[in-house]
Amino acid sequence: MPRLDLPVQFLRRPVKPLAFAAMWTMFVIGYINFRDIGLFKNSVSGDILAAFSVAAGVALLAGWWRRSQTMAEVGLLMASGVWFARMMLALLLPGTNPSTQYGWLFSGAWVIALLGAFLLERDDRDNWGH
Amino acid sequence: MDPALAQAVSLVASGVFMVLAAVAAYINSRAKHPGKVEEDDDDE
Repeated sequence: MPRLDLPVQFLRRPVKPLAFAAMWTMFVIGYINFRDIGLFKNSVSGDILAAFSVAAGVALLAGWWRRSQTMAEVGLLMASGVWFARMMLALLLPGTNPSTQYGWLFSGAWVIALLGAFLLERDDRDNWGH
Repeated sequence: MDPALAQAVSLVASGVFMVLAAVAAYINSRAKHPGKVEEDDDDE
């Protein structure tokens, strides 16, 4: 099974487009929720999600920088969890604006992509040396 | 639904989702390599 990195390097490390995109979204979600302008608005839950998002972003960054498979997998799993929480809230509080009513669909796409990436990375690890 | 309750439910559901995903990955790994001890196979 192919690994999720491109056959090019940046800073002598493999380029992983999906992990980079996930890291980007984690820092954005963290920033938005720390500023209380996200779906979770000004709430403790929003602050928890923000902290978790930043932690996921740091795990993905650390996984890439240290070439740590474990950290990369943890980061992908955490990132899928953040998007899942956002999808759930968008479903539970759809609001009246079409952009919020259907926002869960975009979050759902990220959940599928990141959960799939996590499972692929885990499966790829199992294939090493076999 | 009360917004605070919906937020709490979302966070809890997310936690359950992550646990289930980790368990699924673990079960898949065990099915492929029964009896294998999990190793730290980081590159560094």
